[in-house]
Amino acid sequence: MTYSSELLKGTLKTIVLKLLSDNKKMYGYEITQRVKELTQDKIQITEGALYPTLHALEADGLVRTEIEYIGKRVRKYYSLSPAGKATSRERITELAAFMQTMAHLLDLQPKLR
Amino acid sequence: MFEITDEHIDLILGDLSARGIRTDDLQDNLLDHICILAERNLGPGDDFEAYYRSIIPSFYRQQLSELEEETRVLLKHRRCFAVLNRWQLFTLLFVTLIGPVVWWTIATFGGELVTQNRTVEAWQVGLVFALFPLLILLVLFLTPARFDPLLPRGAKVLVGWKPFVSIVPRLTAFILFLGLPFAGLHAQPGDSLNLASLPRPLYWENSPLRYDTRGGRLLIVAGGKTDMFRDPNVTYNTDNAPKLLFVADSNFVLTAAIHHDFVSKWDGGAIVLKADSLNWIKFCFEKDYTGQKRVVSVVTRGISDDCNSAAVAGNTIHYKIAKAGNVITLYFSQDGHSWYLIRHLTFDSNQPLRLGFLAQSPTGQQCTVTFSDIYYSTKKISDPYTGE
Repeated sequence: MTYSSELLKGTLKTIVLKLLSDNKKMYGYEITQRVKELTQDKIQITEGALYPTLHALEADGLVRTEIEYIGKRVRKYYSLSPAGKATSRERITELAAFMQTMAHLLDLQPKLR
Repeated sequence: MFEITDEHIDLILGDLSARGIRTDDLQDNLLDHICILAERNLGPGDDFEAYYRSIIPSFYRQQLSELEEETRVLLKHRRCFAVLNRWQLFTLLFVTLIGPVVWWTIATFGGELVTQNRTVEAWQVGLVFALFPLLILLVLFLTPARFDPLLPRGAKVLVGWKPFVSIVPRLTAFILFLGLPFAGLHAQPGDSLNLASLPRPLYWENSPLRYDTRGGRLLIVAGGKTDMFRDPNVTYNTDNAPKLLFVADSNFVLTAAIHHDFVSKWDGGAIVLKADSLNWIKFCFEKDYTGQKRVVSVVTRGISDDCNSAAVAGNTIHYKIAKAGNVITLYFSQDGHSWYLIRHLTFDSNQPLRLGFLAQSPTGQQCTVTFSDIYYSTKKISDPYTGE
């Protein structure tokens, strides 16, 4: 079973930031494969979602890019900027709290009263 | 491992481009991604093109250009472009569109301040309203939401620096056009300008502090100690008041309303008919030696013949000067309709006469005179009492 893109939409940036904080630098294909591997294929990031997100992170100054030439083609490596590292921690904390809240909500446990 | 060749790369890049992927960064990313997939999933001798055609649909929902659209929006804002939501866009449009209207209103108001010599207030008004739209735009561009790529696609609007940057020269042009806050232009003797109601260019004699020709009216600001007079006592011969003159026809009628604030003794605005420096007529509305607002006509043939006529209540008067052959007739009116004859004389000249407008401040610091309702015709009047 794979999760719907609707569920992933709000978490994609956090996933990418977390992966980049755990790895020094990664390129696009590597990120998709790492996510598949870590989630046992339950989360599959599409190229259509990943690359715009990487560009958004780059535009926001949260990631830096580094280019490697492989013959005629170019490989772009992404790594976290200092601002990206801070944002990564914030996003993970926020998502964890959100997941906790969702757990309470979906389990219908009246603990939040 | 399948080996990617330059031909494969050219095929991919050509197809990406044909499908609407033209952003370099995105082309690089997709090319590398596709190459890795091929390297890992194809064996030697496999059909690369068939494989490529089979995997490319997995990159998009409807068409590949979706990625380009999304990426271009995000990359643009890195290059000083912004993503605004609808509210921000409407605000931006409002500011952009309302700006000229606000400016027109303020410039008119500011123009009145300038006319009243309140130039400091005019500058303040101009600056406040110049900064207002720029301030609004700055707030918009600092709004964090513009960076949020999770805005619904339908709510995103790509806006670049272009409107932000273009508004500055546009406002500047508008300010210059309206003459605010640089109200009034400067002129040198010999400079010329045209007024729509007059048939020929007018030339400056003596420089005004400023002048303005907006709205079909003529504003002349004379500097301090400016006058045009040849004293019968021959102790005071002056001709340094700014004048704007054009070559008149042999027969004509010129009417104009003259307005100024009567600040200092002998401050005045006048219609001038000039043959040369020794022969001229100055039909002046001036603050006389008793402080009255006086109709004064000065006919100079070597020496000035100064005639003080009616005193009036308001700061505005209508003057008419008519030339029929060598006969000149001067009239004034308080309403522009009922004319009263002031002076009727012969004025011979061997050279073309120049006709126009003068401002003077013989004892003050400056005098701003506005000439409006300017009408000129080559009519030859036949009855000096009716002016027809």
